[in-house]
Amino acid sequence: MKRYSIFLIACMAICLTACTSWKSARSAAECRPVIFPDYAEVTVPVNIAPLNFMVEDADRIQASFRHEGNELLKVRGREGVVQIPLKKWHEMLKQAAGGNIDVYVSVWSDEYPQGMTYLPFPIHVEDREIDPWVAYRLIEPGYVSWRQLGLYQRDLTSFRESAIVTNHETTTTCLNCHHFPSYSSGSMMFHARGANGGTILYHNGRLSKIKFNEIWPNRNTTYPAWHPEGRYIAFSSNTTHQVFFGEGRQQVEVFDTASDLVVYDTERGEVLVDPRFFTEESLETFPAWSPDGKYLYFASYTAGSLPVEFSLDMHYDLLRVAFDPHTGSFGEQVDTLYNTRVSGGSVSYPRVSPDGRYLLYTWSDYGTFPIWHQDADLRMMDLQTMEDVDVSRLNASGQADSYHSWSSDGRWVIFGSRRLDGRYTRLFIAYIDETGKPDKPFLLPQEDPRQHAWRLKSFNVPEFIDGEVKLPKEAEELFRTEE
Amino acid sequence: MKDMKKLIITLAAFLLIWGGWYICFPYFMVWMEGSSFFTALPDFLPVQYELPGDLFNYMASFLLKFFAYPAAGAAVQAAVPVFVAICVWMVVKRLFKDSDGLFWMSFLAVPAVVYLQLTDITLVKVCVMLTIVTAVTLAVLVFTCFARISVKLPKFLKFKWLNYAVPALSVVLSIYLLHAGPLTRQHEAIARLAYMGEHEDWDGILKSVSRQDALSNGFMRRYVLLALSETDRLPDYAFRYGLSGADDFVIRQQDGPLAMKFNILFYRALGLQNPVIYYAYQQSLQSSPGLSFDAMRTLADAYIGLKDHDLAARYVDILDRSSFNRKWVRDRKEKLEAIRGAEPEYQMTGCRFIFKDFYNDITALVARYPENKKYADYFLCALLADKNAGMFINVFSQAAVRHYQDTRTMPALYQEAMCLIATREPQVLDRFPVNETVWKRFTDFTEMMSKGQTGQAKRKYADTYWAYVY
Repeated sequence: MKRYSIFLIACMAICLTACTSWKSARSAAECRPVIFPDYAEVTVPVNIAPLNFMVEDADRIQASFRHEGNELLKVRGREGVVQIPLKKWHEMLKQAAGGNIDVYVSVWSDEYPQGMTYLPFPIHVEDREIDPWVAYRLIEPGYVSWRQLGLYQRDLTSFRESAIVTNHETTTTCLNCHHFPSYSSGSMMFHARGANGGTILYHNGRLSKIKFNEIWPNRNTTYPAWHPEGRYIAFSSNTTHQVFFGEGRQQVEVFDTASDLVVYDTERGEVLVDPRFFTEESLETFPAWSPDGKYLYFASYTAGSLPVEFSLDMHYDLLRVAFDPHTGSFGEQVDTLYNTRVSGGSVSYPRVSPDGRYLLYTWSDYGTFPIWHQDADLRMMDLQTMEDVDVSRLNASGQADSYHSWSSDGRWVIFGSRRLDGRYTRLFIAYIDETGKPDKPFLLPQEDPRQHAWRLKSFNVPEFIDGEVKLPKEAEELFRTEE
Repeated sequence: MKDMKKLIITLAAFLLIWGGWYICFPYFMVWMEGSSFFTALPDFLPVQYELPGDLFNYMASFLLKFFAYPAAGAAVQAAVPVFVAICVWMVVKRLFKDSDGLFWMSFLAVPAVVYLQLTDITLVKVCVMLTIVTAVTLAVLVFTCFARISVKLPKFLKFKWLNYAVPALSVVLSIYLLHAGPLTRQHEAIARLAYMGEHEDWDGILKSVSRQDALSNGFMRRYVLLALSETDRLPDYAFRYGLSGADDFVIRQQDGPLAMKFNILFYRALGLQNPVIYYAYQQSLQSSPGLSFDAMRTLADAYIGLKDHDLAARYVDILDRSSFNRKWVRDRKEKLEAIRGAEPEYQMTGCRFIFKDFYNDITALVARYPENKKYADYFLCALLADKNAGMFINVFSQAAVRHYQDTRTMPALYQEAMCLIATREPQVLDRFPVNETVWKRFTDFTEMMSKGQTGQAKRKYADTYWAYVY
């Protein structure tokens, strides 16, 4: 009996070894593997989570990570999926910081039962960290209504994701436009739309709900921009509509029939209005502060008459006005930085880099809601020379590339793109060097790369933050409704 | 009472209740599965649900996936009251002395449980109830391990016949509830129509819905009108089934999942994938987890139709990882392979049209696709229903060139409309002559009306456009 047991254990050990041992592929391809996500030749921050990837239709997969010829890590996987151990990955990144990691991939599949090894692909590890967290909204790209939606945060150094706040208790409540002052996870604001809604403000350890429609000038607020000094929040106040197209690839259009700018003074609880930005003739939207807080950038469409229905003629210029934080007032001069009458298209989401040098914005053919526009691309302007900077490397042809944010050191941008399938927005991160030249963007890594396909939610409004947001539990009480 | 007898009674109860569900609600159970969603994929639980509060929703989603097959769904439904009966029996056994004679007590709750099931199509309340029952039973079992309890009940409660009569009555009452309870046969009938629509069994729909049903039930009326259109009989019989306006073709005022399902079938039949996708998303959001099998299958099919491989593959891949979609997935994978690498074909003719109401949609479609007879018939019937003779003649003039060159053989309703219009504009018959028989019938109708025999005339010509107008 004892002999049988030893024999059985030995057989099992052999089997296990056979299943998990490192193998050599019989054939070698003269090309790189087609991996998903495409991490070949990307530049990543030294603290990023493991770039797990997969090879479609592969069964067994092996990946060897080498730096300057030395093998630092070996990973085996099944179903074509490479999942890199977190701790070892970070150790490897530290060793390779400032240089390249070459990834050698071998796969075994029905097509290659004896294995196929590919030419390596490099990953450049930039010796810079990225802000450790990113906040975003997860929502179905499902038009009129919603059910589960929430504001979430993700630790960029691992795969930890947690909800900041959700509409779990009140599925009729829509949560949107989350924003943080100067990357601080200690303060936050977002709108809760619905019966008991309002703007939820968490600032200086205090939680409050502001009902803008009950404060003069009694207008609800939409897109926010928190002043770097923390006292003011600029908002656009938009009257938004959407239409659905019976045919064609673009199925939805969202447009405003009114939008103005207001500034909320968090100290005095007052809304400041400059009559120039509160008119029916022009639609101002997407406010964004310069990092020094001395300028407000925004998009503006000057309408002959108020649009009542969707129109292809809505082109938003990019404007800038000086702001005095001491008096809470705007300067006299309003500069037009991008004139659509001259250059065409329409500007959305202006965002100035933390060093104040560059302004990244979304460009689309027309309108104010580029995420549904296949033509939407990121563009960048050098604010010193007022010239365009080529950031076409960030964009995917024929797919919407839209909402973007700068990292606090200005070397990374994160943006939403529908390039994977045209419908579900996913987050991409790209390195931008001192001259404003971007590297190839890479998809936000997930623990299982198939999760990009399995998650039936869009990522919305990514914002870098310096840590994990710990919103008091009472926040949800502020907009809870009796259903 | 011997254990074997108890087992036989319990099994018999299970089989009878199973039969009740299987016979009464086969299509509705399939529909319940379509309105739910469950997957073991890592993203589902943390994003769609919040534990522990959503534990019951998660349990319910898990159970509902079995409803893809009516037999399996009926087994789940029958197992619930039987499980409760077994729990009650375990408690009775532990608490009462000479419990053999109290077996009947375990069946007392069965009709109530069945009633609860009939009012809870999401199964969430059922899961709450099952959890409570299980917890109480376990508590009693544990408690009685430490403290021996043996309550003595009066003898009359232990009459032998009670052990047969009460289970029998409970089961009979349960089956009665299945037959006449809150979940009506009408729900089943509409779910059946949805199933037939999904499988394009248009003749089946026409056979199964009577005129009376169509007149009294908006869902049935719409399904019949859709089936008439799909079998090219809309301009012959639309008013027989109570067409009273353009809103009878599509459901605008309700946003329930049954309404979404109908609209998906309607726009799919029109060949418009954008509205199908739009309604599929809305249908999805109406389910408890915010996703539904049915919507996902609809989306996959719509995107396959549009040759959008990447999006279709996403849904097919997710459904591939659920237990009861294997055959469906196998079929779709072949289609997916066929469109791999193809350029998506989002139809688009002319400038974009905003999809908002049926009139707007159909006007745009007729303008874009004048050769499409289905669109023309929908538009013409909508105009007839609105008694818009002027517009009808305008649209018909264009449609006739393509679809009704010999107007004497055109559908009955159009000929009847021409007769009516001719009373004001006689020259219309020169352009669009009608069949002699139709004209004779019209003459007879108008004579009867002029003699004051309105009721008689409308009865005699019940299915005609004239009866609708007058």
